[in-house]
Amino acid sequence: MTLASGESFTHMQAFLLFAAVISVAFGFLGRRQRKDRIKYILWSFFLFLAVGIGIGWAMYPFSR
Amino acid sequence: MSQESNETIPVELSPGSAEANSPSESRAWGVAIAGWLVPGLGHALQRMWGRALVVFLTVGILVVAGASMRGNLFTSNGNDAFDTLGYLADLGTGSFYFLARSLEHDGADVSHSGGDYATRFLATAGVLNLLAALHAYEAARGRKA
Repeated sequence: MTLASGESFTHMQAFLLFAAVISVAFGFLGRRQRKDRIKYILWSFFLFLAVGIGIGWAMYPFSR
Repeated sequence: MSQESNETIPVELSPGSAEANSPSESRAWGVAIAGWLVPGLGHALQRMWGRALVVFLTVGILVVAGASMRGNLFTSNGNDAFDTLGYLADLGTGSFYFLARSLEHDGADVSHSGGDYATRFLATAGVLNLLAALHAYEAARGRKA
């Protein structure tokens, strides 16, 4: 996938960008204390990755 | 005076009552609308600088990435219910909707996977901003946020 600027994102990079941005937003909106925010952001990011990659593997048999 | 007469009787507020239209309620609505129009402004008005900056940056990053990758930015004249839902989600970015429009001068291109990702980026930015505006509204009403 190509950005208008000419740079490009792979599927994985787009997925990681999405997961990171949303996790940070959730962490700051959902928690007040710094330590709680960091834990929430990391846990949310991990779950995004786990669910995304899990669904990817679950769909793999149907890809061909 | 008897003990019973000193007890406070809880009264539910109806939407049209004087208390429901109090200045703090009006201010909360103002904060919510400001937060919708400019991502992060609702929190900035309440001096929640960290949250304001994060909301501004996260919504901004998603909008700029989505528009740069030529995602589908829906308009009001959609063909079906999904287009209308997409338009409502995109409108959630407030003023950034017009930023995305100005960035996407070549129009959408969803013939490749990048455009499809970008469409999700734009819709997510809108929904995230609406969530942040709701959060700012709750904080302005004095609820734990």
